[in-house]
Amino acid sequence: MRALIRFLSRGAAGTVEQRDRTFAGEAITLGRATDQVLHLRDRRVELEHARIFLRGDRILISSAAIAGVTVNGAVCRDAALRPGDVVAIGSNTLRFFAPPPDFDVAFSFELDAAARVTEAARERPVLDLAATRMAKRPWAWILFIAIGAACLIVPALGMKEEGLGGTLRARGLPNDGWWISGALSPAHQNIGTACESCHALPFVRVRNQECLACHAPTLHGHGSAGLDHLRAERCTACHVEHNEPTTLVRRDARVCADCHRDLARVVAEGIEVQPATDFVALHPEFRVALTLPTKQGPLVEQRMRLDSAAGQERSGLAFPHDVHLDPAGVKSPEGKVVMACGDCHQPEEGGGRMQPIAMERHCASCHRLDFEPADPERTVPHGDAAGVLRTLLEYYSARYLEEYPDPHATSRPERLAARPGVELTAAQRTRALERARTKALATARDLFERRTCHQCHQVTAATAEDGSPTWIVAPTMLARRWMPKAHFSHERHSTALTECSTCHSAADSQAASDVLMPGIATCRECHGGSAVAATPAANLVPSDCALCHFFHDPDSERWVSNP
Amino acid sequence: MHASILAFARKRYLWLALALSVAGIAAYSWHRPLDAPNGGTWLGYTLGGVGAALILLLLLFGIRKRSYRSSLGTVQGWLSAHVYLGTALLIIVTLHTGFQFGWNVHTLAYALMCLVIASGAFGVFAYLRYPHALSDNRGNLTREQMLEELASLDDRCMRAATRIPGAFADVLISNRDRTSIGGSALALLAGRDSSRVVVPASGGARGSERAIDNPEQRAVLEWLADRLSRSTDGTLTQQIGELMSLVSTRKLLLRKLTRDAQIRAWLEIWLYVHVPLSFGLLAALIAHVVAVFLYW
Repeated sequence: MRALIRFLSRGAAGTVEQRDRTFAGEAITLGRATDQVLHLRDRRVELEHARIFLRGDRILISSAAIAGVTVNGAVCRDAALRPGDVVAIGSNTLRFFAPPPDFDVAFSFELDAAARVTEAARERPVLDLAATRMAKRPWAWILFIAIGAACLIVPALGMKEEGLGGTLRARGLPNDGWWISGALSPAHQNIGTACESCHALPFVRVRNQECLACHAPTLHGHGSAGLDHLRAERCTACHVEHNEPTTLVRRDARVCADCHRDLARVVAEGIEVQPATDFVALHPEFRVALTLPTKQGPLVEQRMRLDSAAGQERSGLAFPHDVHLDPAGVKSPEGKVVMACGDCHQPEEGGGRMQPIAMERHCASCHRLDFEPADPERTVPHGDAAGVLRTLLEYYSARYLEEYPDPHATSRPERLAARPGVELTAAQRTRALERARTKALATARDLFERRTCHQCHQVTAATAEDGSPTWIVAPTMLARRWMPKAHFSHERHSTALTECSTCHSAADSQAASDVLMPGIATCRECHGGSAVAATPAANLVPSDCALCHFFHDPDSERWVSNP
Repeated sequence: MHASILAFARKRYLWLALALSVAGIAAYSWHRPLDAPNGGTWLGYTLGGVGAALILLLLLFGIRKRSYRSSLGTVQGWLSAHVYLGTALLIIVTLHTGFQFGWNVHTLAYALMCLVIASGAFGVFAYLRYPHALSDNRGNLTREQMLEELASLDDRCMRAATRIPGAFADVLISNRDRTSIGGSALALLAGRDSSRVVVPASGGARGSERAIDNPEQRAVLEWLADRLSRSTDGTLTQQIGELMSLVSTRKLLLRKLTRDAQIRAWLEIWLYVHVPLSFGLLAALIAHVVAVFLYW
């Protein structure tokens, strides 16, 4: 499109000066913005007010402005223009006339009229932020209300109305989950989003009764001490949720040391107590639980300090570890056998402690209980002293009554009488049984006192009430659990320690009375106290009380943790 | 404002803020809670209480500075306290968090507080630095004087241009009318000069004309220089030269005005962040405190 724009300016003396401009392009833009083709300096005019363009051979004016344009006195948005038309935009006037040759459009524009208006309506440049669209107050209100609603009002409403709360959560809208300061511990995950199951009353701290809705009230027996005063404490004093890192149990040594520094203050009289504050700073030597015989009555388990002279096991067995672990091998029915710890000490399921030693499983393959070289498959029972003699009597009686020839027969008729198919006379039978009894007693004495039982057990010969000889085997009292007040896992230690001998010096042990449990000094080679966490340079394992000890009653299975 | 705000009353509030911060840090390092440090220990509640009280006190500054009749301390003293205690607040509240952060209301409040303090810190920086830049730039002229100067320059340009035959008057009119500085916040902050000018195309009368970018009067000066180089008439050369010198002065004045508006905008812009976020922080603080005790 080629356009002729004729600018008219009126001089002071009434003369009119005209200057023609040529425009070539798509459209003539009219507006207040400085990049418009026809710049209209009038506040009533929008930045981009209107466009004049060709469609076919028609001249069109189109305005997106609210005020529109006035064509020949009529306000409109779009209009076709012909020579003679007058277009008014604000106070500006465009007069269209017949375009000269080579031009598609021609109109005149009176400059002075525009200038007159613009002098009055002339805008000062916007040079202050306050004059722009920037504002403080509306944004202050918007932020205050939006944050207040999203973070407090709406979640609080959802908290009161359960249905609303569920909807809010499901849709990810503002809900009371936004208030959670940290994750729940894994043990409480099942509570999920039911905040009210613990936070039952608003503005009231979580009460013990909310805990006891799920947990047994006998939890805090704390072993034998029976410390009832612990029940007066708030559960949340020790069990804090929504904190990071997530630990439901406060493992800080001070929780324990509070009382254990001076236990005599809190426990009943007569209970032996040892002060402890930290595994390294103050902790008594380990005490092993030994089953000890008493003069009368049942056996009792006593805990003896490892470093005391009384810390000797009295199992009633003879067992030299050194002989069994001889690198050259130990004698066995099949010749010399080299044994390892694991041949007898096998871990329980889970790898924590070791299974108890059992004669049948661990000893019997070498320590056989056969008694008759001619009949090596026959054995006496284990663990039943009276049964041994009974077995021998039955075995030899049957054999002497049935077998031929009687190796002990002295006269020919007797030897003849004992041949198969011949009924023994009563006298012969009596003689055979007497001989069987003599043989059985001799074998029993051999087994008990010299050959088999004696090897491991303490056996004393005695006389029964009926005058017959008998043997008493001292009871065996292997420790059931060496350290019942602490938990320990062999498996957890197996990654760093592969040799049993690191902790258990079995290879040098000559007597079964040796307690091969490591003392606290051995553990301290790797385990530091709780202070270690602050100074990791020592390369020690930080060890708080709860690493080994229970707080809750260990007899309550549910609470036995084995981390 | 000048540096004396920071040195107000022999830095009384600096010492108060330092004492608060040092006490907070000392207590935090000495305190060994049974659990990980958090806002729920006795120290956590104490730090939180001090922090909340400080926030309310700092917000009151907005009221105090508008209460011209108030005799509750001088506004200068309040501002000094506002700056120093606001900095101490960052330390106190960071300790209150126990360095536990998450996607929740509590961390939102903390984040908003940090933004408010950061914008305030920028404000202190701006007030210390920009007034010098402002007076260095404008010399002893006020903005009003610069605008009047610009108007009178424009008149002289018009008079000089109308004396020259040809398109000079049109170009200079469009140069005047299409001068555009400021306008939007972004333009002010960037110091943008989005002026344009309409110059006749070089093709002569039959050619087209268009509005071209004219920052710092560059386009119009180029056009004038072009005309000057073609001028063979001594009078015309002198007239164009006179016009160029006027437009060059206009260019310097416009640059000064733009720079003035830019510095003033930077001097004020942080308040447009600081004030709305402060109110957002107030809402978040209320939500934080109520939510914590609602689910105690």
